[in-house]
Amino acid sequence: MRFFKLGFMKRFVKRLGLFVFILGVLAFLSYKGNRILFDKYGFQIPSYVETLVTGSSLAANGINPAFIENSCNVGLAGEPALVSFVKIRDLLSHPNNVKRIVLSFSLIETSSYWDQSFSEQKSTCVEMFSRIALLREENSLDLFEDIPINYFAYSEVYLRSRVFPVIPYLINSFKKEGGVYPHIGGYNEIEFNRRTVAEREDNRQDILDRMFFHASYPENISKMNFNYLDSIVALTARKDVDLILVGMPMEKSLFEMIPSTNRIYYLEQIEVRSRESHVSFINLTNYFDSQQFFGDYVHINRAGADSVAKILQDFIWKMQK
Amino acid sequence: MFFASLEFLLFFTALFFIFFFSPLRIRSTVLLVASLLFIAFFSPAFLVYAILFSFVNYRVALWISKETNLKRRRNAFLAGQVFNIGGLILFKYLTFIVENILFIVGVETSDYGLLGKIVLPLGISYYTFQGISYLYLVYKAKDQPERCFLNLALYMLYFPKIIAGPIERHRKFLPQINFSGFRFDHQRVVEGGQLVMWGMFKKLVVGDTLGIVVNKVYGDVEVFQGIPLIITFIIQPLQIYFDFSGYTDMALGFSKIFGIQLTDNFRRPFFAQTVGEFWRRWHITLSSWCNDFIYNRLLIKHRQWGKKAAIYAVFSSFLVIGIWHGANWTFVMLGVLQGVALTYEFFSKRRRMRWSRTVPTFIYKWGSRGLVYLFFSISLIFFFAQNIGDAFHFMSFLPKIQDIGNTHYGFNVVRWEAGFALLMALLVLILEWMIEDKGIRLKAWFNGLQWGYRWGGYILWVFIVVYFSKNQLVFVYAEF
Repeated sequence: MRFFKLGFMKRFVKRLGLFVFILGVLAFLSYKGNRILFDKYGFQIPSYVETLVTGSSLAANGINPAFIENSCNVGLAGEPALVSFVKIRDLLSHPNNVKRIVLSFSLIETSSYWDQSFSEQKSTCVEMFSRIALLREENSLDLFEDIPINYFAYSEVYLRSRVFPVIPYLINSFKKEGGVYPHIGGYNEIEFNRRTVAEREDNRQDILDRMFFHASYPENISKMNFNYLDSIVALTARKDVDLILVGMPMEKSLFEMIPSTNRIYYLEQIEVRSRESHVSFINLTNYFDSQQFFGDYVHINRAGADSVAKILQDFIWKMQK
Repeated sequence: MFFASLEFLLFFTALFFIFFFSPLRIRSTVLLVASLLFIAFFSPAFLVYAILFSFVNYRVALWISKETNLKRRRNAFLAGQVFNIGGLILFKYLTFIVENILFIVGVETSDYGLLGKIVLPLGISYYTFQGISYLYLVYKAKDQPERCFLNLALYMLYFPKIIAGPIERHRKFLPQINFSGFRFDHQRVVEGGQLVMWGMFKKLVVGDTLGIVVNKVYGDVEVFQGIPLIITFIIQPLQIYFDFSGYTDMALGFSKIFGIQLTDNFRRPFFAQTVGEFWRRWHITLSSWCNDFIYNRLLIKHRQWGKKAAIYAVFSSFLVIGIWHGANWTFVMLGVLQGVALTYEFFSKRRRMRWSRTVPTFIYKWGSRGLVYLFFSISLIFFFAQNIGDAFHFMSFLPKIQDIGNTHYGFNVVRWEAGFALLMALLVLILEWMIEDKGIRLKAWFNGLQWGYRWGGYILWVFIVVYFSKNQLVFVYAEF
């Protein structure tokens, strides 16, 4: 049986095996070292923070923490509820003084586009997995039980972020630059692409095609985002933290183009969750009539971000009273 | 499935063992099956076209060689070339042509119906050129056509070169498909592996890290001016060189492991002292293809025109090289610029010779190299820009330096990584120069080290490459 005899390649295979073994041992030691580093230097919520803001770019660009007392915005562009959940779970598992979490959960989050973000395009998957790979808590495949994922992307990110030496990466990631922690997020004083703002490129149809009328998403409703919203609701209840869900403003013409099934489902589902005692819902979807508060059709600009933050601050004061 | 990915690592490991444990006579078939799977991984539709392409070229070549009637022979040749070039036009250029026709007749639309849905098959530009030259040489030079379809398909679709070339000639490739060349050779496998490692280092550590800057700037060129544009201008030749030559080294290395020697695409291009010399050192398989099948043919055909024939042939060749890269006016400009430079060099040869005698050799040599580098970087503005407007914006805002104190350029790159990449770029260029020009036997020195040192080097390489793989970009030349 030629196939099972190494014969002519014996020397090569032996050496290769030994090399892989040594590499494996070194990788294991590196993995253990990384764990110590993560525990020691991972991002921790500053002690003054009572209000933690998170969510996708709608939150990262749209809620200015300067107008909310003792707050910190850790929103990150393209952050689905799964990432928000893992991030909140990680941050709350360490000493903190957080009393409430403001989570942007808007109409756009109903899109089933998000359910494909861990499986469709490898570069997107890598980006998504990278967001949770650098948190202190190790996130196993259990998180993705009901979600299709790209295992190659997951493995690559895991190896790169947790197994192989990551010290230089950590130095960069755990360092705050311009108010933004690369893997955690932060408030962006929005500088929109000049092409989309100055020329106000009409990308509404692209947004709709990508998010709501994609051929491979027949149901059009994200299961993942609502499942993980439930997980966030349960987690905040356990941790005795108030949860404020915010439906972030959307440009009116785009809002009207979104399928009514999504609009109805969104309101119904959020209302169900807001019946929980510690969950509040502020619906700002149609809050701005004027286009002057928008950077593009989905995101509000700096003026909009200031206004939304002021509304939230008023709401928090009322809650406290 | 690009070379620096986990799926490719698994694919290659499986192929390696299947290949070397298979009987010698079926090893070429194993490589063909692997190549077909590799293409299918990107899209089964690409595979259908690739097989059809190989089959048509196979049949047409046999038809040409068998046909004794000159007219029918010519018709067979033309039919084959119409298929090859027609396919390339259909997939790569038709939308661009229609867009421009509509623009000329004043129709404004963004909806191109079916045209808008055309996807460029993987590697089409590379294997189409191989098909054109294959049929040409069978027809004109009466080369013997390949009798075995599997061998011809392997020549067209061999996986290490399908993504980004090199554009191989059948005269070099097909004779290598023989049983004895496929035997396991420990030394060859190690050398192939080292070439892969070298290429991966060049691409991931230097090419992709600098690529973050280049992509960021050209992604939204209008928000940059002055220093960020100058930095991009300086590093873009390095970025494209390390990206492309890194990938080529990997392709050569993978292929060498299986016993097939591919043609190198680069010979230290930044040491060229003229643009003409540069193109004999840069993307060699494309430029030599254009030299053999366009430039020389046109020069011979129109030799009675004298110098005009040379200019005509130069411009035609570089126009083809330009639009080979893509259907965009920027690539036309890229070709025209090269044509202008070569025409200038053609007419100024004597004057430049006189200058060279008036300045010290060292200064003339390095001054010329510097000028060629600058010229190449100017050309690359058209290579990277999304449209002509962006290219002119880049050039017009390049000298507008403002706010020197502000060192936040908005590149989104980790600074020490960019610095490390530049340092490595310099080191690699020096090493390549030492190895190829000075004959320093670095590889022999490394292989002569004790195993502990060598393995230490390999492990350090693994750690560095895995770390930098986070910067990985889609290979620039894979888009062609």
